[in-house]
Amino acid sequence: MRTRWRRVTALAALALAAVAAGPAWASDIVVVVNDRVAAQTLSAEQVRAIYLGEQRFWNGQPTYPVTYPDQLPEMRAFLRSVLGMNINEFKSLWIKRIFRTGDLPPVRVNTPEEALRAVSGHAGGIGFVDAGALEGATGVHPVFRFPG
Amino acid sequence: MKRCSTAGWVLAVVLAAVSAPPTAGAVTGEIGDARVSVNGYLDLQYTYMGRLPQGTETAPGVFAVAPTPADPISTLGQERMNLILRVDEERYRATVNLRAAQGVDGDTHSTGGRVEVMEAYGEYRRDERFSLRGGTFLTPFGIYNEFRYAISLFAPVVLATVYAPPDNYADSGGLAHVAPDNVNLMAAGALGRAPRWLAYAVYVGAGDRTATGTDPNEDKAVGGRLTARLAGGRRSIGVSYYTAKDPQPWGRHRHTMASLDLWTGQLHTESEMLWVRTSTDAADVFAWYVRLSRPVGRATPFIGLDFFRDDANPIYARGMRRWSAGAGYEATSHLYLKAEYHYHTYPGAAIPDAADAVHMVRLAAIMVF
Repeated sequence: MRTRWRRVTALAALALAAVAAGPAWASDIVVVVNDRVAAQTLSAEQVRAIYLGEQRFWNGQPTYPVTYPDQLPEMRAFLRSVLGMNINEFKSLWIKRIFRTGDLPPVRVNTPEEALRAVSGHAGGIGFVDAGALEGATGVHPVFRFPG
Repeated sequence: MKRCSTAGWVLAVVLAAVSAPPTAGAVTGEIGDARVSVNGYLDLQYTYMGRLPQGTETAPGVFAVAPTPADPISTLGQERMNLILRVDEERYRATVNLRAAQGVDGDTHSTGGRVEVMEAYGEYRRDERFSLRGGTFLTPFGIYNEFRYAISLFAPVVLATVYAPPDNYADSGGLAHVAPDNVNLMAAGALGRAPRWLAYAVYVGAGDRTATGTDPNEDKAVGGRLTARLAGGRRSIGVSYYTAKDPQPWGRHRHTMASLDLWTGQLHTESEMLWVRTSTDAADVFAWYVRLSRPVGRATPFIGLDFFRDDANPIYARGMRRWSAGAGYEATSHLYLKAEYHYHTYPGAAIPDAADAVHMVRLAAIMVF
């Protein structure tokens, strides 16, 4: 009797956790690029090279990376999962890069909607949004996905 | 009046930088299809320097050691201010780098209180492999030469190979030809995919100019640099060459440099070696430094050793050694603090005893945006 009760409790806990987490895709974050970018997939290393200023062109166009304010969950997840650094390390790297190379840091926008507009409006645009925000978006296509 | 206007200008820039939302270190905006950015650099420094040996120029290019060393220096003030304006539109970029060298307080320094155009250039960037730049800009010669205006952010002060001599060094003469001058036209690019790159730069410039801006050179300065980045960017090896033919006493001088920049785990090693040969051989310069640093949280402690030898100047003819230790601390992504100690020795030089072991301390608060 006690064993059966434990099994029921464990199954209920699992079910609750699954409901709370939602579908797996809903918490994913998707890196998107402008439709004029030919690439259909990018590796994490390629995304990283663009956001850290090591790759500044693709398909003959200057890259136009887009980021968010520090506190947005998408930004935190991107820094952690793709760039492998915290916000201070990211800013510090760019401050030094600005003085060393003259390159400009990624453009900052405030919302995923603004990010999609910025990426679709620039031929070299690249950004990242919650997978749910991608629904109905035009002028961009996904190239990389990572957990939020 | 001049001081008030400059101070007001600097204050306005700082206030604008603090109030505007920064994007990882830049105040940026868009005007039409162009992206406009403002970056800046401003420091507050305390410097103590002991009794440095002094030299005097007895004839053009001939130096002697003064019988008494310089008085100690103890100063607190704002030393460097830069404001960099950039406009990017697709493949084109324009950059203006303004500075108030030696601070905005113009009482004692030759350039103090005046805002100067340090760099101004336009650039066409075809792609990763080729760009063309024209105007006036710092020579991409070594690890630091391109951004020596922000040197206290990146390195211990007064690196031999990026010589921005303190006044009492400059007064001893003979060091003007150590750092390559600005150049005016450059082709540059990088081959291979990131992060494995072979970067190149070839450039031409006017060489030395007189204080009145005239160019007395018999021909133009030319040079180039190759940099290989290996192991995912954790190793960088560079070689540079620069030559110019300037008026006597130095005549033609040839600068050759090699640099090494590598990470071993968390340990960062930076080193450069510079050899300057002049047409007379009497003013050759040989210099190198090694600097080790290791990030520990927000702090980056470092140790370093510099060597500097200038055959034309008896103070440096047998080589000056500078031992350094210190740490930088990143208080925020816009505010850096730095403390450095340097110990200079001049073994074998016929200089006054009081000048043979010179201590230097520098504390700096550096604001960047």
